[in-house]
Amino acid sequence: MFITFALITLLGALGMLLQKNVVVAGLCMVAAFFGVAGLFVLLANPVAAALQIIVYTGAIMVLVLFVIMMLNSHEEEAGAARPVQRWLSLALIAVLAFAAVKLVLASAGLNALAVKGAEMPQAMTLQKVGTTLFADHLLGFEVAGLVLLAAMIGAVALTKRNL
Amino acid sequence: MTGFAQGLLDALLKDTHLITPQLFLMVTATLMLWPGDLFFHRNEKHKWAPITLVILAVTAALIGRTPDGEGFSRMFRMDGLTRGFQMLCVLGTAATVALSVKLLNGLKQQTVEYYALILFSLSGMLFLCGASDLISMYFSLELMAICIYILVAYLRERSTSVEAGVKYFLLGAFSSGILVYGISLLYGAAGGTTTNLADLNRALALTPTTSNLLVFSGVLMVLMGMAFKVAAVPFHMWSPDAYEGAPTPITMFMATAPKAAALAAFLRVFGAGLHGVSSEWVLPLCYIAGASMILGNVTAVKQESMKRLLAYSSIAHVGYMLLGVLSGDPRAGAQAVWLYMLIYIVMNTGAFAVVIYLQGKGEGERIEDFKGLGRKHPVLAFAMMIFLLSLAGIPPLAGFFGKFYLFKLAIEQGFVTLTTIALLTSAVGAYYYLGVVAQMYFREPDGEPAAPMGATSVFVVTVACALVLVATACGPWLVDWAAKITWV
Repeated sequence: MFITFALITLLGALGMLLQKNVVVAGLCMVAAFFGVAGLFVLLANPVAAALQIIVYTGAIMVLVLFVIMMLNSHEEEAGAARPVQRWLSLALIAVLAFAAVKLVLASAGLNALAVKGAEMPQAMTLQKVGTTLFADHLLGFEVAGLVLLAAMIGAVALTKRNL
Repeated sequence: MTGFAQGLLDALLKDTHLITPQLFLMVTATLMLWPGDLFFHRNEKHKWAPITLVILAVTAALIGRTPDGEGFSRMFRMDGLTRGFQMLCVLGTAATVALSVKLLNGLKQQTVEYYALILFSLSGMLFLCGASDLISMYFSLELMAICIYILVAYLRERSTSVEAGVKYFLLGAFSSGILVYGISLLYGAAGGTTTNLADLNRALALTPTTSNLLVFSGVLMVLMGMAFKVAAVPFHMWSPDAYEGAPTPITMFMATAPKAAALAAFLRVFGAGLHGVSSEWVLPLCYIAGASMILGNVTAVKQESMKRLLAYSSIAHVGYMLLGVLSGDPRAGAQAVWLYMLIYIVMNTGAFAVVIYLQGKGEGERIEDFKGLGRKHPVLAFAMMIFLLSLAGIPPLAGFFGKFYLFKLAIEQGFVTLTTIALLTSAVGAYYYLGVVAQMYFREPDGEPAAPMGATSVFVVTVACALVLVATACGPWLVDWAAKITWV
């Protein structure tokens, strides 16, 4: 199962990068998101999987598609970036990936895992998420609501023809 | 389940007294939008300015009455530091509103949304001053910033204003991303249990050496995100463009109130909060402070636009104030920064009031527009000279007092090289401030008739000028005030 979901994620991500048509690239991204959601399910974390689908495939993807539609650039991009930039970015990615893998392999948690063996992680339940959100992080939650209100007012103020 | 809901309600009501000023602001700002706006005709929107000023006065009174304490699962704390910086934010906002009236009248751009967004932004700042948890800090920062993005682009018919807004928004969004990433790294490095600053500090100080890289990158990213908000070099790129394109009162707003709030957060996160891992952030912050002083002052010399000059000068002033954050004695550092910020807000308000007045006549954007002001408006030119000399830190004006207090502390804490840089760059600063003074007094005017100035602007300029002139004489009282910036 892990291999399946990992392959879906990887192929989706690769497809998104290599695809010239932006809309198809966006759909590849959705596939990658679904793969990640599957990985979350394998980690016994259905809440995170549901959030992944609702937030990323639902909200963020719609936002991305909106931008694509607004910019109206269905036609394929002509002319590649300068080769130097491409190589530089590839080198940077390689270095970053190497550092990330090394960091994970060197981390204390992994060593402890190898010695003690894996223990079942505590599942994240919806109830726990709710309690954390409304009890511990109440202030942050309320201020986030205000941010949305302010953004809404701002959107109206910037676009309405006659205030 | 009802028990749970009851518990939530109790927890909510138990701590509400800590945030009465913010609650008051949010409720009134929402009421202003609806139904308040229905009572005013399209041509009467300017009446919202005095109403906003009254709201701000009430807010200041409420801040004074709010008791000390910590609440909301230790996410917000009210203490001397919070109260002092909250007052500064209200002061800067009030000055902005007072100076907005005439300019917006002239442009026929008076709307209730302008004032409501300023109030929303202020409530974000008030939260930010007291945020004792990285999560609440991040959300308050966003509330403050998102309103300012919109206010920068407020004059939507002007391409410069929209361009400034978009630039500021995009860069701000990226910096927020970096900040959140840093917060998540710190959260992970501390064992994934807390984002509270005090707990985090304790947990991070105990982390094994293998996760040093994690702590370091986390601290560095938080530092970058916050340095962006105060426009410290090298994260200052947005500020000259945003300052130049924004409506001038909003330029002044960005230079004063949000900076005070962001510095309060800086002091709380780094000065008071993460001192357990100070070895990770002191050196980067030293470089940021030094680079801000040098680049801000040196680049300001070549500017031709007054607003850009003030933008670069504000970068330099932030560099000075970061000396206070670096201080090994966070309390003394906070007091020095508070004092400096108070004086900076007053003199900046005065300088911007003069710029806004000249702009009302279609000039004031360029430094050349100041030529011969000493002949045309002797009183106004005198006031502007006082503000500029004070910004340069020439004794016996108030600006000198603030600088003296801050630099003395930095030397006592052993930052000798940085203080030397600060002193040298202050001299560079005096050069470009005096350049404007020279324009006003030693160049012939173009011979245009003088325009009336408007009561509010006269009031603001007079008060600011008087304060800058007498502040040094009130030194002992100022120090007494600053001594209240403390926490348990």
